Amino acid sequence: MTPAAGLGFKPEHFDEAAASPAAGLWFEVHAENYMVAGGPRLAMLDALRRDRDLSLHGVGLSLAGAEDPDPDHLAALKRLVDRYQPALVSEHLAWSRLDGRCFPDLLPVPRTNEALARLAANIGRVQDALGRQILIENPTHYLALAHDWSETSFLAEFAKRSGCGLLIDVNNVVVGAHNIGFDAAAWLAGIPAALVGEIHLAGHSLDVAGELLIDSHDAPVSDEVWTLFAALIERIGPRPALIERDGNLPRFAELMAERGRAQAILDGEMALAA
Amino acid sequence: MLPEQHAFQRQFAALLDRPAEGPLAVYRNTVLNGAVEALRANYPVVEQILGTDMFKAVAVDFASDRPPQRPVLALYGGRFADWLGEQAWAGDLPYLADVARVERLRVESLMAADATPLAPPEVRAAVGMGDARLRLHPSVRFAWLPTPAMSIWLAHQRPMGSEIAPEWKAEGALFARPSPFLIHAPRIGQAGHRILFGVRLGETLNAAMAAASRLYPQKDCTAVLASLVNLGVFTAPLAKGQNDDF
Repeated sequence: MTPAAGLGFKPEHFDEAAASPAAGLWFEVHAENYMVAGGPRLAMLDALRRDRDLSLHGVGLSLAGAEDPDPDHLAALKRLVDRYQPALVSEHLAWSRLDGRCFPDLLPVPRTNEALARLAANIGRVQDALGRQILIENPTHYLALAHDWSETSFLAEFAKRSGCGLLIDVNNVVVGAHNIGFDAAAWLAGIPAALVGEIHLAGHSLDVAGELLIDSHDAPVSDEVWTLFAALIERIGPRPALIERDGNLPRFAELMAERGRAQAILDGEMALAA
Repeated sequence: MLPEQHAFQRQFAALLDRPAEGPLAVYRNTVLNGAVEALRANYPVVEQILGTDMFKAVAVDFASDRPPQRPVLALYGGRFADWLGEQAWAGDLPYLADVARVERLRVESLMAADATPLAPPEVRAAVGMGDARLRLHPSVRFAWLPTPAMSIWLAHQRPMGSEIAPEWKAEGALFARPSPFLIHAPRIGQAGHRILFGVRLGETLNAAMAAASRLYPQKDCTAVLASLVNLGVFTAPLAKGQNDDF
């Protein structure tokens, strides 16, 4: 995929998304929302795929789980990958399944040697099944857990062991830095440029107690995220960058304006590099 | 002894089942909210009947009783209707569980496999052959319900504020989606229901029609069949070795 800015696709915006003339525009969807046999969801994705690149972003493989990836779920992902031939496929550094129960969330992972080994092995299984590289997204943080590894070295290490790339969610870094106390800019500076295959940009909100930032995807991308994104692109060069929005869904034009801002940052860097 | 990672995850999962404050509340809320939003998407008329706050409280109860077992939430809540029927407070709303059943038929129809329905001449040809065993289109979902839940559901598809005063009687509900973006949702009578379930059980179309005519002699079963065919409810039988599992 030529590095360009994309949008998280929302069915509410299907007509405008399908008709948009924007050059390079691509769409990302949560893979799980399309693991159905047929109907309007798949038909919409078929229509978008005719003219656009797609990115499948999984939220349910539970790669940092204590259990192996669910073979049925992996097979369903493989069917989607075969059908849509997406430019990017990504998942999370998280777990969401345990003892037959699924948690619709991305649960936190103590960064131990044991977790590292399991994660690298699980990513390897997924990449073998799909026949392609996947990207793994850095988590957001609400809770200070005990870790053996720093986060950036952990990300770099399982990427090296498994051959996966990284999806760097700048908003997750900002939210985590606020909630558990670290330097977001220094964190981003510690990510090896060669591993970064995609960037996520999103908004956040403050919890009711006014203490924690929540990775709520229900607001425009914050100024701090824009600043860190521009600095990251300046350092590593352009990468596919996505505007994620799930709650308080605005008009399509508003999301396209944010997407235009991301594209301008990518284009500025490309002009310098040329 | 469990590996450290497994032990941590067991402990963490147990914490999510209890009310919490601070960081744990963020995870707990996200976990519950994921299930609640999936139910909200799949049962919008139940939500309209109960109101937003009551629906949310009910959905949290259900999600705690029956947490998701799959990461695909598009089809979460298959047991919601039965569960509603078991709740003591739902006794005041005797149609509520059936309305949820209607909404479930709709969701399953929407997410079902696509296929080309048989056109009327193709069905006529099949009837002419006598022993044809048609298949129902993969998106066909129907039920016979003891309450006018389908009428209530249909009334909620019209702009809010319209009067809902259905006749209190059993009726049938049918959902059929002959193409990805076209879904039909009619009430059906007993004759139509008998034809559909006969075909679903593998009867020939002629046998299903004969049974419907015998049971409901006052109905014009040929006309009922014609309207079912127009909704695109039939597809050609499977060839040997084919299967339509997703």
